[in-house]
Amino acid sequence: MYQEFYAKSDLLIWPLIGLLIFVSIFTGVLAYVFFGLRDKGKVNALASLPFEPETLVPEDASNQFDGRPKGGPSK
Amino acid sequence: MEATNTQTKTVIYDDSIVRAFSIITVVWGIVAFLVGVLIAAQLSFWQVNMGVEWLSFGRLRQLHTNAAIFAFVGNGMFAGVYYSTQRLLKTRMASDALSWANFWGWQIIIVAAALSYPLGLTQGKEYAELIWPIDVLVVLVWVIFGINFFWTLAIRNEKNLYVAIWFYISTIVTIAVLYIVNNLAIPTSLTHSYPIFGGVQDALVQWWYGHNAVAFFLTTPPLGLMYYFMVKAANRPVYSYRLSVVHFWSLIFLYIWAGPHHLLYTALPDWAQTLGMIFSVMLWAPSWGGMLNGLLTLRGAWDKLRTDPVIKFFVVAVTFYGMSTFEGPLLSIKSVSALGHYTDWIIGHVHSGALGWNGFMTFGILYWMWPRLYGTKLYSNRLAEAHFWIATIAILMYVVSMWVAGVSQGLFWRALDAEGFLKYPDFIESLTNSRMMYHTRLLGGLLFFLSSFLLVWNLVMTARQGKPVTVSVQVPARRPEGDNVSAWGLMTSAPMLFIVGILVFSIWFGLSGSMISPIILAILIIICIGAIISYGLHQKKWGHWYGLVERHALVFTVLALLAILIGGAVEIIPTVILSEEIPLEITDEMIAENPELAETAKWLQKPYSPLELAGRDIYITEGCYNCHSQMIRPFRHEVLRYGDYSRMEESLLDHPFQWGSKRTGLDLARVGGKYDNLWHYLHLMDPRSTSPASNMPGYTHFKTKTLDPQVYVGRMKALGQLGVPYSDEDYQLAEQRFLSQGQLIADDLAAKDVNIAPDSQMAAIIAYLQRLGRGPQPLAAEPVTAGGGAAGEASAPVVER
Repeated sequence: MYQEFYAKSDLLIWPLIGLLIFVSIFTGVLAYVFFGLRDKGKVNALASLPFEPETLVPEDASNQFDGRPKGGPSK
Repeated sequence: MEATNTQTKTVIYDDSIVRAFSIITVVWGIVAFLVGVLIAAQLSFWQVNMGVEWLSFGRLRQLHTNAAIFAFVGNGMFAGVYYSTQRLLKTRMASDALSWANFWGWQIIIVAAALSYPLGLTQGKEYAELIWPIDVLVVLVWVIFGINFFWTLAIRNEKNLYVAIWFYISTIVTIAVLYIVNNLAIPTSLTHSYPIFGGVQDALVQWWYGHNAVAFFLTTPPLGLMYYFMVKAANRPVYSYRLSVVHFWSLIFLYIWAGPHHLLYTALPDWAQTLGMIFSVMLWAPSWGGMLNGLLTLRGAWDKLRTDPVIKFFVVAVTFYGMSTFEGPLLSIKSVSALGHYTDWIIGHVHSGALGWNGFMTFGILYWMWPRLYGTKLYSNRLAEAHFWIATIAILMYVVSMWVAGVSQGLFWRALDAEGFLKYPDFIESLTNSRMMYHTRLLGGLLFFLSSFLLVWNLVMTARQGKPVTVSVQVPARRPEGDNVSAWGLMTSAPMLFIVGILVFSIWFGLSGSMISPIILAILIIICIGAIISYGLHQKKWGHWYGLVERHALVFTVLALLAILIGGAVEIIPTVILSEEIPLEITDEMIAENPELAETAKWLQKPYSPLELAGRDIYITEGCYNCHSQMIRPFRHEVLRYGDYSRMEESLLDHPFQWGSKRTGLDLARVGGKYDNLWHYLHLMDPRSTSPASNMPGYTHFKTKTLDPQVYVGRMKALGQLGVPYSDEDYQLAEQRFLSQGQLIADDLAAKDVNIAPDSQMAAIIAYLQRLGRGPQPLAAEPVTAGGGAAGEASAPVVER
């Protein structure tokens, strides 16, 4: 059946190639996640990136700093 | 903006750009919702078209979709990306000037779109309707955004790239690729062009773009934003960072393959349809992985759901994401698509994603971000709560009514009686039966639109009670040390070489014959074993590798680009090769040499006459494809209703293809010759005169507006450059044939007491409609040739199929 199915068109091989590539990469990513990302401390540090301390500054005060190009009507 | 001392420096973020994008998001959101309500009203009550050509459904529908996607969600995305990128990279955007160029450029594009669509200036491809000069501007502005983003990555003060940034990177590179490829066109004037792809190629490229516009404009940016804003709102890290790695790579790799599910049971080659279906079903897993990762981030903080409207918006948004990413793969299964395609089920599906997922994510982000941009608290949680509940009920009304209407239409169209003939042969019955659902949809849309004013009021009052503020952070005066690994070093490291080896040998295995394939397979297995051994020997190095990649923006971007290019290439290249193999002209000699060409020749499309081409351009201008398909699927009920099913060869010369995606009206693939010219005239002037329950707008301007035949000579030449087999004689006689064919139609109508000009839009659109599904039609009472002799192909006798 397999040969009969594929004999009808040369192009039918493309889905198979696609699946093969995907399975290879997906397996690689899974392997990395399960074996390469074991360090909990490192993972927690990455996951905590959005939680860095910040200080509120009035928009007017932000004008006092120089050293970077400004453009547009931002101020 | 940075102030430096010896140890640390202060970085002040640019939040003025975030405020600007936030404000304009709300403004365009209201416009998008308003136009949505207007076109929903037009579908319920045809009178709302008001007899004004600029306000007809076909022209406004694309204004609504583009406003919702690019203006509302797009500006919301920019606001969120500018806010979160600066904080995640601990640096101000690289260039304020580029940020503002991005802002104003994007708004100019939206205003240009809002003006051009009602004027009928369109490319005729769904979600890619913008005319070519605006397309050029889109690319320019996107490049500006990309430069600013990647420049910011280069000067960042944080070594690691958080998962949200990965999603932004994939968005920027993929949208650039999709947009440019799908909009490749030959301009014929400042406002008109023909896409370089035609027929089945154009269909595949268009839906590769169309689906991935959903994927990489409406999904990956909000997912990135979810990983930042939901985490911030819940005040706890994402549930599983490791799951987010799997989520990202599997999602971007799989999404790009799924486009052909929009073309199931069409004339697209079956292998491409199957490919689209399989990858769409596989998408279920990463989509739900992402959804669960988002929802489970709230573990231990579910109590906030009761009190915090922001969390409410996020939770419902992610739930709608889960629902629509369940429904999408479901609709991609061929047997389900057979029922749901062309119906309002798809409209319901799209809106559960657009309003529920994108809309609520945007609202949630605005409610969370806005008070922080003004250094105050939200003016009223109760108003936000009211907005949430009204909008939720509105979405449910919309989506459920479209589900009911869509499934009913699908069942209605396919119903056969005991003898195997159509149970409901009159198409209009399905429309009549959907009317109550259309009214419910209108009510839902109206509620959603009105509820957005609660958002406006809340945001205005919040801004009034606070003052614009921004945020500063202290970062080390010196940028973090690099990893001392070059991009080349990373790209040639062992894991990368193994990945490339697996890819190359996978493709080779697929393409190799039966003799060599076992050898290739053996090599493939050896490579895999080699990878495992290498990992065993250098575990630390391998474990460290992805960390290096994830910190190296260039390598990461290249890998993301490769992931999306593989899917696109595998789908598009074979289809292009296949289409190129079909000759656009088949002579008797060619058939004598290759008898198999006889079947192809039977269906092979012939070029349109000048007047038919003009009619086709009017069909596109009016957005007729928004309600009428030109693709008969190979089902008994479709063949009984519309005629023989559509073949690939029949639309190869169509630039752009007009297969359509929705049937509010009938399929028109074989409408030619079904009705006489008078019927078409009456139907176009007042659709109710021939179809009493129709909700189609009247096109009375077709009668009064005339066309310049000279324009179509240039357009024929442009199509000739794209391979449409027009001869020099066709160009020379184009004007003459244009008028003579128009005169034939005008004379026919005059005999029935209707007077139109031969160069009127009415004559052109009738000529086009009468041509559909048939071969070349008579061009004159007497054949028109250069030497006054025998008629050429274009004036051949009527061909019926």
